Amino acid sequence: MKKLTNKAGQYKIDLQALKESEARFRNIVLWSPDAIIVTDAKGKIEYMNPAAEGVFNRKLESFIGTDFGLALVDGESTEIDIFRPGKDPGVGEMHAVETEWMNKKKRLITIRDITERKRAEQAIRDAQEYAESIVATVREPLLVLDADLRVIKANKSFYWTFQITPEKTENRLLYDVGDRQWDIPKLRELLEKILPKNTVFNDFEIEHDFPTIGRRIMLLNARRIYREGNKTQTILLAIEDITECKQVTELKKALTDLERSNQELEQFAYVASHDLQEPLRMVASYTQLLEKRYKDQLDQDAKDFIGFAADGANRMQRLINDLLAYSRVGTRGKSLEPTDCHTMLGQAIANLSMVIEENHAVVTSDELPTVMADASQMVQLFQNLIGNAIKFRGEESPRIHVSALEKGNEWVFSVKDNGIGIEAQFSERIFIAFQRLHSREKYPGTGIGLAICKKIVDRHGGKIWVESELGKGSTFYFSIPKRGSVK
Amino acid sequence: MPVKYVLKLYVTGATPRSQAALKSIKKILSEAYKGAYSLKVIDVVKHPKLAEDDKILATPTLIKILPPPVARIIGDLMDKEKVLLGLDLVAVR
Repeated sequence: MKKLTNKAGQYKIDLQALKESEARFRNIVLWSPDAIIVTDAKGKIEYMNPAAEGVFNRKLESFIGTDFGLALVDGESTEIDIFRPGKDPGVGEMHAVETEWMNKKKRLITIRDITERKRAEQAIRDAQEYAESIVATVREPLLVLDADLRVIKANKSFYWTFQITPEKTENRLLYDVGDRQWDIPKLRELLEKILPKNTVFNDFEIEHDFPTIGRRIMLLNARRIYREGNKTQTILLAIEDITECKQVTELKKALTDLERSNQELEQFAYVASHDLQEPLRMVASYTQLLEKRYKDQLDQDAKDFIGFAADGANRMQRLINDLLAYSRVGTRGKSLEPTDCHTMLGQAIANLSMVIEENHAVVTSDELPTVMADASQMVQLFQNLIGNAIKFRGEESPRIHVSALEKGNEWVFSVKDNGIGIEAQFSERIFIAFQRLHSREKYPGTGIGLAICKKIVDRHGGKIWVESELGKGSTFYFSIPKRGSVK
Repeated sequence: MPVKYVLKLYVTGATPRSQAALKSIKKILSEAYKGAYSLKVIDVVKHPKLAEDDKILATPTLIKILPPPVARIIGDLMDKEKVLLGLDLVAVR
C-alpha cells in the first residue's frame, strides 16, 4: 500500500480501502452459489446469504436468531442431507470454520449443493455396474480391449471356455495371451483392418487349433466404442464357441437324412414286395397250369423241374409275405395306447393253440403290466417269441414262462424257454431279417420272426436281446418304456 | 434408572449418512448413558412438519433436550468425544 503522510488523508484512504474490501467480500457472499451461514460461538444463526434460500428451498428470514447448532466436520468437509420442504431431499457438502470477527468468535458454515453431482455420480456408477454385470452374466466369452488391443477385462465365461486365469489375461496384449494362441491371422485382420473402419463386425466365423482345448469353431462379434469422456476407444469382442453347436447341427442333419432314407426304404420295401406278388402269382399259377395240363406229355425230368419252379415260387411268395409283414411294422403301425399285456399274451397263445397242443407245450406267466403299446404288435411280439420257443424246442416238451419286471422308466419283459438255446456269438445275428442259423429243412421259415420282434420293440422305444446257452434254453428280453411314444 | 438424557435425532429417509449417524449415536449413547437416555428418531421425509417446527435445515441433526441447556449438533456424528463435547455433555467414564 502506498505510504501516506497526511493523517487525515490516511484515515480517508483507509476507509476507502475498507469500503472496497467490504464490497468485494459482500459480493462474494451475495453471489456465491453456496449457502453461507454465519453463527455465533454457540451456533445461533446471525446471517444467511441469498443462495441459502435456493439450497434449502424456502424463505429463511425466520431462521435468523435460531439455533443452527454446532457443525461437526470430519476433516475438510462432511456430506449432509439437505431438508428441502416440498422437494426431494438433497445432498450437501458442508464446510465449517471458526473465525474471529470484531473480537467475537464466529462460525462460518458453507453448504454446497451437490445433489446433481451425486445423482450424476450415481448414474455413472449404475451404468458401470449395469455394463459390468452384463459382461459378467453373458454366457458367451467376452473381452474388453483397449485401442492397443490390450485386455482390460474378460468375463468368467472367457476364462472357463479357454482355460486361462485372469492373471494371465488382463493387462496383456490380446495376441500375447495364452502362449500367443490368439495370434490368429484372420482375427488380426478383423481387429486391425476391418474394425478401425467399420466400428462393428458381426458373426465372423473362424476356426483355430488351440493347444489347450483343441480345434474350435468360433463366431466373433466386435464393436468399437469411442468414449468422449476420456477420449479413448474400447473394443468389445464376443467370442461364441460354436464347435458343439455346429456338430449338433451336422448330426441333426445326418439324423434327419437317415430317418428320411429309412422311411423311403420302408416305403420301397412295401411297394416292391406288394408289386412283386403279382408277377410271382403268375409264375406260380402258370407252372401249376403247365403241370396240370401237360402232365401226360411230360417226362419225369420235366415234372421235377416244374416241381422245383413251383417250390421256388412258393418260397419266394413266403419271403415276400414276410417282407411285407416286416415293413408293415413301420408303415401300418397304430398309435400307442394303454395295453394290457396279459390280454395280449392270451391272444398270442390262442393264435398258437394248434402248435402248443401238437408240441404239448406249457406256457405260464406272472402278472403282466399295462403299457403304452400298439396292441396288435404286442400280440405279434409274444406270438413270435413263444412260437420260436416251441419251434426250437429240445427233447423235453416245451415249457415257456413269460414275466415282466419294473426297471426305472421301463418294463423289462422276459420269455424263458427250455429249448435248444443259441450260441452267444449268434445272439446279435438272429435279429437280422432273413438270417438263419439252421437249414430250411430242419426248421422251416424265412428267418423274419425275430427281425419283426426287433422292429416292433424299436418302434416302442425299447430294446430286445437274448441270454442263452446252447442246449440250456434261452431267455428273450425286451423293454418297453413306461411313457411310450412312437419312434 | 430414571431417564436423564432426552435427545432427538433428525435423519433423512434411509440414506447411508442417516443410517451411519443413527448407528453411531446409538452406540455413543448406550456406551455413555446405558439405560438412562431416550432417543427419538425423526425422519424428515415422513415428518416434514416436525422438522420445520424444529427449524431443521439439514440432517443428521442431533438435539439434546435434557439435561438443559438445549443444544444441537449437525454433520458428522461419528466421533464420540466431539459429539458429547458438542452437546455440552461430559462422558461418564
